[in-house]
Amino acid sequence: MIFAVRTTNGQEKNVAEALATKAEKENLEVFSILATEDLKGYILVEAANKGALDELVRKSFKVKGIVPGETTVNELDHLLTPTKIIENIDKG
Amino acid sequence: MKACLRCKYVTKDDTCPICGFDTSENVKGLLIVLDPNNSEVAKKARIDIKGKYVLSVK
Ligand SMILES: [Zn+2]
Repeated sequence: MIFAVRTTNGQEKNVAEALATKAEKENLEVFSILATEDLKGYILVEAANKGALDELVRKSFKVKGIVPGETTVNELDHLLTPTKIIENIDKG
Repeated sequence: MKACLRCKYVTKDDTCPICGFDTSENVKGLLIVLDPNNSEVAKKARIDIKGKYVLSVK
């Protein structure tokens, strides 16, 4: 499950790193964390369930909140497979 | 921050410790893979080694 988490603008990468460290230390079921310049003020967290995410962001003052609902990996296609963008440009 | 031009792995070195390719400082985005076996995002990005990656590097 992929969730969007609100952060302070410009702190996306720092928050991603801090949360990754916390996930490892506390052995949480968090699979990946993604920060991108295209998504200002948010990071994406892939976790086993909402409980793992809640635990991850708990007491983290850099996190402003969790966006309700989930994202699917397909919605991240353009971020994860950048060659596709080039293919699309070629077609245009 | 530097990353491998081929596999996008983040490293401080001039060559990638995973695949031996050159690295570049012209990077965008950050993807931290904690559990490549369970991560759909890692699968999509074809990453099977835990670690820090960028989303694009030139
Ligand atoms: Zn490499």
